[in-house]
Amino acid sequence: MAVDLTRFLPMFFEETEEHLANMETQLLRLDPNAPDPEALHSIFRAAHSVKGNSALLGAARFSEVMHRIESILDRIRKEQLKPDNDVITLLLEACDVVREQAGRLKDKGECDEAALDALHEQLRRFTPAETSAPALSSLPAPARRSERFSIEVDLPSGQGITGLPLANLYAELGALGRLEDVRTDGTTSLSLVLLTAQSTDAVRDKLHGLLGAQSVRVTPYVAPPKPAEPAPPPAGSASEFGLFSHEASAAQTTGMLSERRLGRRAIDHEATGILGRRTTDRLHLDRSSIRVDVAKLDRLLNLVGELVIAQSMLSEAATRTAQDARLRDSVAYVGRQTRELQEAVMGIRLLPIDYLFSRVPRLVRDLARRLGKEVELITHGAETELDKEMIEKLADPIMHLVRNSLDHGIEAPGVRAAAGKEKVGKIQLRATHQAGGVVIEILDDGAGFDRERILAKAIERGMPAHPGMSDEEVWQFVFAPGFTTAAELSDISGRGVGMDVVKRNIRALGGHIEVRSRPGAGVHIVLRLPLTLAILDGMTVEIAGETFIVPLSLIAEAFLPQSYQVKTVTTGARVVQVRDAYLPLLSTDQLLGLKGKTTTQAAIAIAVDVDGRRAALLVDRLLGQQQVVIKSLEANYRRIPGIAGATVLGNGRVALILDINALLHLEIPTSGDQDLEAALGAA
Amino acid sequence: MSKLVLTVDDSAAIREMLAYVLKSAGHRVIEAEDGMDGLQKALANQFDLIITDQSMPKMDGITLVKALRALPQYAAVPILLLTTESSDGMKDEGRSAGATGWLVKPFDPNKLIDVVGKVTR
Amino acid sequence: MQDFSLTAARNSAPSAALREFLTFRLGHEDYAIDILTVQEIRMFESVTKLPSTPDYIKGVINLRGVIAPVIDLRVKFGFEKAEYGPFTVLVVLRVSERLAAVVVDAVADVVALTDEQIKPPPELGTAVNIEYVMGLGTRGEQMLILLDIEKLITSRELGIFDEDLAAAH
Repeated sequence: MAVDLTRFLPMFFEETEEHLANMETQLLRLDPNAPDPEALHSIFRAAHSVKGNSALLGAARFSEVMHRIESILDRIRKEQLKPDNDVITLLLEACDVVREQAGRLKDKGECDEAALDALHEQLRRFTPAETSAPALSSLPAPARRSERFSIEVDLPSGQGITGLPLANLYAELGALGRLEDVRTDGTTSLSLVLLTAQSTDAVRDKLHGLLGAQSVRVTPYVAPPKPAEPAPPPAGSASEFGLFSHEASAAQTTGMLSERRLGRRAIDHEATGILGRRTTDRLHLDRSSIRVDVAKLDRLLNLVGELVIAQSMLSEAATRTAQDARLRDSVAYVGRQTRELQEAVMGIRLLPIDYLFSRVPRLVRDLARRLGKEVELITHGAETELDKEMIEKLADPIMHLVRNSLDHGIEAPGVRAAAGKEKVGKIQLRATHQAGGVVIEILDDGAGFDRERILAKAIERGMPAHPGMSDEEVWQFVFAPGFTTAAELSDISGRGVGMDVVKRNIRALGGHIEVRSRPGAGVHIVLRLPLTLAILDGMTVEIAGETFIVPLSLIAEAFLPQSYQVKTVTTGARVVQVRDAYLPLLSTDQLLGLKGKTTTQAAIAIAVDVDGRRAALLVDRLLGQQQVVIKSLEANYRRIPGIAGATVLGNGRVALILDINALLHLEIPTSGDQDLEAALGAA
Repeated sequence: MSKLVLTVDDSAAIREMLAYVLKSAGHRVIEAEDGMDGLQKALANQFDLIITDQSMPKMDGITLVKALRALPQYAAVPILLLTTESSDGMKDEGRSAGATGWLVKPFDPNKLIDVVGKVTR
Repeated sequence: MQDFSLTAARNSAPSAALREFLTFRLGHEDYAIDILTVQEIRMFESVTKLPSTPDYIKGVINLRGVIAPVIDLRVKFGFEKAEYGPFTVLVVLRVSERLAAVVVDAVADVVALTDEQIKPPPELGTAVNIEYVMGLGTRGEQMLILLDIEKLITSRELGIFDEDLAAAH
């Protein structure tokens, strides 16, 4: 039988990616003057894991490169090499190359050997002599934050090690830090070495509480003098597998093993008798997370959605027929539990925004170097959770905004000094939960927007700009397609594709973007987003006998248009007067190619506002408001213009969610503002 | 004969692959994600074989071997070290800690089954 | 001893020459589709109409939380009558990882055909475009038109998937 192991490959690629990201994060945090030993250990382990994975993926070149990186890290920990800017930059670049080549390997099944060779050469500069990979366990005793302790435990006489509450002891030690050595003579004492950030007293207290003060001694660890390194035996012993010959020749190994096994059987009974009872309660101590396929989560979400529908049908039937108060109470109880279940399941999709924030330091570092600027990046609320998909879709806009802040906002050190500012600029990223949504802010203390320049540019481009406009109105111009004030185009930003795309992306996520700026004090950008892409607050309306959902966030008001409010303009289009404004009056049924009653007086108008673009949509009837679970129509059917998605109503039927932005463009296919203006002017 | 095997590795991919190969050879498998997790599980069950990675958070493979060898019930149970390279330093460490043998990643699945059969006979 | 390999395992060749088909009626003709593409058979239920779609797309239904289109092949292939009676059912298909429901006049049963019982498609004479006919099956006196339902559902002509996706098939 042939067994296919290729299905594990995606997991290895995924893990490699995670290890590289981890390396990058730790490298960026490393203090060149006092590198934290713990952090070095972590970087080392990540590099080592990548090396291991590359061997599995059949990429020998990767192994070589990672081996070099290990050697460099080894020199850093031995304080033979200072992790200055150049070293960190090289290591970061190495991560990039490896990541890129891993991607190639994954997609094309091969990698660019020349790129790896070039990297290998570069890395060689910092590894003067060919050294063998340092053993991991020989990593340094972290001197500053963590230290090692020797722990001596007396064994209960007659019982030996099995007389100790071992499961609890090890669990406790695991919670305190990293256990690095275990030795016992089998009858009188157990010696342990623990690496921990805890104080001597804390360690002592924990162990005294568990084992009694009499039988435990905790002292600072003194490393035994190292024996001189044995001369490396000749090569050729590098076999894939081997058995150790424990103080016996290889020929006797199997014989020895079976003797040992006999010994084991004799001990079995007493050992399990004592241990069996004590272990169970501590077992689940560190089960922190599992990896789940998103498709499985979505299926779970679907099932819960179905349950919600079934529950609402049940609830409806119960209120209609049940005289029995207990039945009604039970149904109400099931209802509450179902909604809680739904929330809990949605919660699984939430991830801390750190997944995104942690990618920013690298960008800021590289960019600041290229621009010759000095910037400090401060993040707040990295633990704030939001939908996984949302995080992925926010990456581009946020990276773009940070890039803008660095490129256009933060001034060169000299300019800042001349303006009496601190030489080092500040960029802040903040995330908070507010009113059931998420607010992400990007702040810089740079020069701020140049009001005059934006106005001049807007007038030059024929936009409706005049000097009397408020700041808020002026800032809106930066969101116009192709708008840029950059004097010369850099390859970083300022190519004029940017803010409009950012705004569109944020919009597509159901969010808003706000801009504040004060000259000389910087720019403050606020993104307001829903917690998840999966749920929408909607108004249910009827059009041509079908139920549709309009996103509540876009609705300004709903009203019954009176005939005196409605005017027909020369192009045949209609407008409706709402207070002092004329809004285009659109027949939603016609836009969708359906036959409703929007031409009659019975229709109801919904005034919508999409990014300041306003219109009134005619619908047949308002049905109510409700939260709906957004489902993809495109999973099984193609995109339909004017439709954003679908949902399942309480009665089990499908209702379509209107894409208001697209609907407005359906009516006026060319970039509409001028047409609109013309129409309004004629009215 | 079916054996109860403990696999200890911080890589979920390696764990899944080991479990897949071992299970298809008829063995039962329990997984642990680092040395400390492995030790706790070893105390709660009596395994016939333990396969452990070397480099892991919380407790590395060498320390796990020492901790296991300190227990009478694991004094003679075979323990295999999974290593990235078969260097002599690793072998010295593994031998003095009391490991039974080593296996270099990437392992050949057939070899693994073969080795498991050899050491648990 | 098992043979493990890090390269993809070949699918073992289909062992039986027998293939199973679901048969149903469209107008006056009997059709058959590969049973492996059929996920379930449902009573015809009311659908939610979709805007800007051809008339043979009746709309969408909720299949346990998943939204799937409903296609009336009778309309698509220009049958004279496309009525909804007590025997009208929906055959839910899973094709290329996607779900779609097809309206048929009545489902008959499942038949197993050997390769010898399947003849190449005729030059002409079926209401359905010959491109989507895999062959003709005979069962006693009865003739079955074997539809290549996967090809039909993913076809550009039917247009239920976006262009890029349809083009990939």
